[in-house]
Amino acid sequence: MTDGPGIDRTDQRPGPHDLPARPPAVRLVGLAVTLTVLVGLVIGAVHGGRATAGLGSARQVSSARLDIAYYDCLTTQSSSLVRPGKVVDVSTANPGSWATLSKVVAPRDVLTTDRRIAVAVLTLERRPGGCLGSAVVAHYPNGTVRQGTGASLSGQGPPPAQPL
Amino acid sequence: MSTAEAAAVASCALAAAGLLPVLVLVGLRLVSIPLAPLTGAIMAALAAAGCLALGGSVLLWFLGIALVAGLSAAVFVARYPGSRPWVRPSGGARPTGSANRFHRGAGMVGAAVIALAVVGSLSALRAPHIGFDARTIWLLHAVWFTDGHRTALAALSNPAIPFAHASYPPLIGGSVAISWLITGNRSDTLGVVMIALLNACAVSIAAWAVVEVGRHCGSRVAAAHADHQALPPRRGRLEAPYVAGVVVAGLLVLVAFGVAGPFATNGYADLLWSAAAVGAIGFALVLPGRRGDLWVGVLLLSVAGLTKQEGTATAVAIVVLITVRFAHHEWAQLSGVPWRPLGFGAIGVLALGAWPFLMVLLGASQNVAVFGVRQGDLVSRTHQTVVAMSGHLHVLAFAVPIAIAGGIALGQVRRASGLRNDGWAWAALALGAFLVAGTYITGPGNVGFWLDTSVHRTTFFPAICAWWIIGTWAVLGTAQAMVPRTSDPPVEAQGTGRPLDEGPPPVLHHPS
Repeated sequence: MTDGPGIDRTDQRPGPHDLPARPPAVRLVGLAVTLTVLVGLVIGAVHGGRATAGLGSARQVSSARLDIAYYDCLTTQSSSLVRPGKVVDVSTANPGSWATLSKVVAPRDVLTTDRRIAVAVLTLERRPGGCLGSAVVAHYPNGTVRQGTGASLSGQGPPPAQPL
Repeated sequence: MSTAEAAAVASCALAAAGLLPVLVLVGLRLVSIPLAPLTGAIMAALAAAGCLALGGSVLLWFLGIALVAGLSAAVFVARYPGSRPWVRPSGGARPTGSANRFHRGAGMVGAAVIALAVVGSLSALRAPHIGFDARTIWLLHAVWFTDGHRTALAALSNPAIPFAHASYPPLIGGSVAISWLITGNRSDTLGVVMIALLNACAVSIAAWAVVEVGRHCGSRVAAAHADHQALPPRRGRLEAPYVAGVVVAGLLVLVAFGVAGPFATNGYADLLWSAAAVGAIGFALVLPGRRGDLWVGVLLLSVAGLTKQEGTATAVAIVVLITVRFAHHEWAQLSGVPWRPLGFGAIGVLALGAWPFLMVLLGASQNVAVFGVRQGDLVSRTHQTVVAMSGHLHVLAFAVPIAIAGGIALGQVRRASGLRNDGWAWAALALGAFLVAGTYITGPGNVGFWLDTSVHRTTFFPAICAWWIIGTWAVLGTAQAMVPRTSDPPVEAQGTGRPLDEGPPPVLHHPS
């Protein structure tokens, strides 16, 4: 009888004779398994390598930099309208704009759905001088409307969408 | 500080925090290198939990936890000299001769191959993509922990940020927060790079488990040759299982990054928990069950459980399987109630359940993956889920026949090499996949939209696990091909009877 598995004990204690030679047919099956798996792994690895190489291409680099610049631009505009840590509401009128602006505002302000306690309602609107054609606009409770300043990014339309 | 410099500093900080505990628990092994930063990330998660629940700075919590863990490790080593990292855990003498050379060589070459594959895969970081979930979930959580207790606590129950999944476990948020606070670089890009590096560590360890499989097979083949052959084996026969383990490990890294695609390097956490869970299966369910291997499994399960909710559920399933494995053997050997494995299993499940419990206690908003009224009935949702998941699990059509053929043709080699039945790994794969499928089927909202936006990521775990399982069969097949034939006369009637966990046989003398 052997000890069960546990600290410093394996649950199997084979001796060298437990590794027997097998009939040729069985060895052949084993060899076929190995070769098949290796071919599959090589195909999978080549696919993975190509995918990875594609992700680091010059086109992807410029796309990623544009994306970062876009969000930096929106962050700067947002900061010019509302100081960090304030309670703000992001308009849900346009779900796409809401999603984009929420990503900008959530890390630096306190988002709320209660418009009464918000210092401003922020929207993303198509305006000249904005970030790729869009600008952050604040609607204050006193009726004032201001467009964000401090950054702009020439071009039209948002950067290519990120995969979900 | 540039992003590259900051990432290096932050990685070293995480690794430094985790190093001593890893050395004591796992030993002075190559796998400890990628495991140290992951252990530091576990500490960052605990620090985030402390900051959230009790107050204080996440950095102070991290430093305190790292200090306590390091001191505990040092005291433990001082009190129990046998636990020193440089002492072999099984107490066996270091093997000598060609077997030792191959054993050590496979370790060094395997580490180099895995490192090369990882570096190549991380080249995608040249394009600093910041994914949707990276901005809306993971980096946002890091901002909360960086800003401290009040911000994090308020964010937990804020209904205006339903997309943030505030109740997700804190490993990513905590680790990124620590990297920002230590380096002073609070850029999103640094956060994404840190997540990619943690992904890479988890993938490396999962691949390393295959190198270990190769080393186990290689040592058994060497022992068989020593006992059965009058003449020295043909050139390459002893090395082949080691080489197979190294080659398969390198390929697995590339495959895993290929499965994850852009989500390996754009700030998503799915690859982290998936690869950690696969590594845990390898070390704790398939490899023979040495203490160091079990601790690797425990740490990887902690990573999986503290990263994402799917990871927590899958980690619990794996803990149950590990408990069953060890309880069954203890019960069979001792004919009594296997209290020890049952107790450790219960502790594991409770530990993994601590974060969800804390979220309930703190009143966190319910984690809603998809909004709206539930659409479709059980049958239609099941059909949609199966169709969607199978579209990303083609590898199963390849892996299942391979595993069946391997089980028939290579089962004896597997048993002789001290490896557990791959049925354990398949059970973990199936449980993980069923848990995810069950969530889609019984969950709310429009399951079609939900599947379209997530199923390619929630299938990482079963896909990588299937590749890992068949990778081990390739190594076992190589080992079988190298076993001496029955026509070869044995050198002596009696074997050495050395248990496998003592490593390769000490001396392999072949008549010249």
